[in-house]
Amino acid sequence: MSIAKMNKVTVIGTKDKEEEILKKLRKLGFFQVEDTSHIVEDEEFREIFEKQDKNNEIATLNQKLVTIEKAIANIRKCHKVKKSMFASKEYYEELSENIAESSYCDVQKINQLAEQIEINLGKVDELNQTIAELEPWINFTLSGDLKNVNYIKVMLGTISVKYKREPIEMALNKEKLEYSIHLVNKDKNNKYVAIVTKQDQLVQARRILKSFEFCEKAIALEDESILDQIQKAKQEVAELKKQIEDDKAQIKPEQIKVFENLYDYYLNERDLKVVEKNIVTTKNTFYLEGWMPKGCKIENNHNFMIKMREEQANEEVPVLVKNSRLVEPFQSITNMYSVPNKHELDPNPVMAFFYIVFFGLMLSDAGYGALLALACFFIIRKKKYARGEGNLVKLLAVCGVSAVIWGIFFGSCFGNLVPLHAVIDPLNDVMPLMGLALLLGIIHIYVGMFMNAVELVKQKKIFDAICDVGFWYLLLTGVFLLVIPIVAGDIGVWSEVGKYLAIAGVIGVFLTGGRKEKGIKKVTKGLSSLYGITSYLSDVLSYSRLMALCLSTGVIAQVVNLLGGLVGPIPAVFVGIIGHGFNLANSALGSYVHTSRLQYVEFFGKFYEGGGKEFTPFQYKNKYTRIKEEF
Amino acid sequence: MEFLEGLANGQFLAILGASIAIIFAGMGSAKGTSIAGQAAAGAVSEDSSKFGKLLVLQLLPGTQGLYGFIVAFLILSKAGLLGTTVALTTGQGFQLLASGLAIGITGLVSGVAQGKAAAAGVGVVAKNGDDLGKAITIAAIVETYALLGLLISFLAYNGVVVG
Repeated sequence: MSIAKMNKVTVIGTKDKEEEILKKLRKLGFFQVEDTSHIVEDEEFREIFEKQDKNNEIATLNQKLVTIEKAIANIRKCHKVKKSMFASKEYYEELSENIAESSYCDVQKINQLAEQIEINLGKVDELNQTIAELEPWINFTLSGDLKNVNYIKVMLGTISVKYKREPIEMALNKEKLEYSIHLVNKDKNNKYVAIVTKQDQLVQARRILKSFEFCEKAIALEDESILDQIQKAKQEVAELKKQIEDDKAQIKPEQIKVFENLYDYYLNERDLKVVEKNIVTTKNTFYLEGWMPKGCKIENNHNFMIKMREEQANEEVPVLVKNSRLVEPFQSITNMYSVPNKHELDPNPVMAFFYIVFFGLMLSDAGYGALLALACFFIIRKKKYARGEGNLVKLLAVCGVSAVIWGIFFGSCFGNLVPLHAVIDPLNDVMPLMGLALLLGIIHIYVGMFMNAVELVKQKKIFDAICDVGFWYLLLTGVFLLVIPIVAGDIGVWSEVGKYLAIAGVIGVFLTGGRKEKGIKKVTKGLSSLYGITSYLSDVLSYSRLMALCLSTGVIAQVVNLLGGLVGPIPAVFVGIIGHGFNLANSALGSYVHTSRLQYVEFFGKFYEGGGKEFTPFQYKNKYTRIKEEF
Repeated sequence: MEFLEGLANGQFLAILGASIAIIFAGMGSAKGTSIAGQAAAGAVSEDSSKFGKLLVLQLLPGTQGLYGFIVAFLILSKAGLLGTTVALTTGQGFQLLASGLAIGITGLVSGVAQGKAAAAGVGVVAKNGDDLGKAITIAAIVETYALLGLLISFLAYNGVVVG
């Protein structure tokens, strides 16, 4: 519920203990290390301190990380291990350097094996191609006496089936060539032929055959028969395949877990080196500065010196916002706009409340809300998120519940699929819905102004709080009471009350608006601050988007149902699933976007300063594994 | 004469209104998503893992078309073209036609404009994927005006009494 106070901590120790102490801090996970390397630039300290050059080590570790990722990808490819979308992460195990090194050898081995497999697979492909080429000739053998006769040439090749034997023979006869043609095999497109000619007539024969699109194959016949060649290739393929299987057997899928852990180990090692870059050393000692939330303690077993002091008012202190489990996911929304600064109220609890209400109102469908919430709770259960993880999913789960409540209020469950009694029917009760949207807007804005007043009172600026918030409350309430009768009918004595409130407000704002100016400017500034009413009114009207998005969800859902009704019962199921699925996704995105905008522009604009720096403690940052809570 | 009568037919005018709503708003969205999509495709060619995030950005200018569709559908249903037939006077037809104009034209202009803002947002996400929320918010500010158009279209539509 608040912004934590910080202590500035200085740690000095001997150089040989540096890594040990840093690892301890990493384990504790509540210490933010400051960059002190700029001390070295200082004239006074230049002689004493030096920076630590860790760039080479960092580069080596980065290289290792890439190699491990490659190995993990290789194992996945080799065993078709699928990553479950909802699987929770394994617990992280700290490794010793030796174990890590030996695991890393395994990583390299896996990569080598994978490379070998890749090469062998290429060879198998090549051999299979050869076999496919030889196959049609399988029955062709060269009788022993032809083998060693060197004035004869045997050509193997294919000829398209469209050429008959006779024209070829006629062409060859015309040139008075000696030859014989044997048909070895035939398929749909080609005839596989063996043509025997004399060596000295080879050139002419080839020329003639070329005109018949004879395609000669380079198949060696002298040493082995074609059958033998095929068998030999097949045997080779079998051997290679066995080799591949053997190699694959050496790549074990369970190694993924080990490697993932190893990856995280090296990742944290690298982060450690990056932190070390920020720490300056003398000849024998190191000097470390940082921030720690008040109340956290580092156990000191006398091998380093530690000094703590409270934060000072003019310092730039990292901001740690502490909130309940319910509000925590919404901090990411606020942080996207700006991190609160340490002087102001934590806006998150109030923001979260309105976020939940507005998101639900925009999604406004019990069925969609239930689906969204169930899906998110399912993911949360499966993934076992720790605090601070999966914020968007947690946020959507809560907002889904809100949408269920609003959906029941609007009588909408998958549009009009499930008949519910509506308190306000968005399509028919237009004015009440509009009124509700604007009323929520007025409340939201008033709360924002109230937060501003609290800030001002905290800074002992009570007069400012009365002028900038109090008079505006009077003026705005008065104006709203005056406007209501115009659109919604008589409200009796209240419009009279509104008139006086508005007058009091106008006078107040006019007289105090220019209180910080001098001379004639007091009057002009007072007048111009009255003009600020327009910005408040446009802010309120901006909440009409609550109604617009609510309508948009409802109407599209009804259109889907109508289309489903037109196509008959079985296609209707498909229309329903696709249509409602699309509408849910689109409306949820719209609700997320527009609720955020209302917070950022209309709400935060009233009081929120932000500009703080987020507290980022040095801790384990794992990719594949998670840390046990009590590590 | 029959031609003129046809033009003054209430149902014809209502269909014209519905068409205007969907045509212009659809044009705005088509152009907008195409502008954002071109930028997104460029960013995907650099880093294909950002596809999911960029798709969200590309989708943002798509809502205008949807709003146009909502209004067109409502007009058609009120004109009795989707179910039970109702008699529509020329005046009512013109009123429905006018109600479709609001979302049609705000949708056209804001769709294209939002597409440009979303395309700029693609650059933000391409540099740092964690800033998706910021890029979305920037582009979403433009959509306000389409939403207001939708609202006026709906209020006007709702005010037309038929039957």
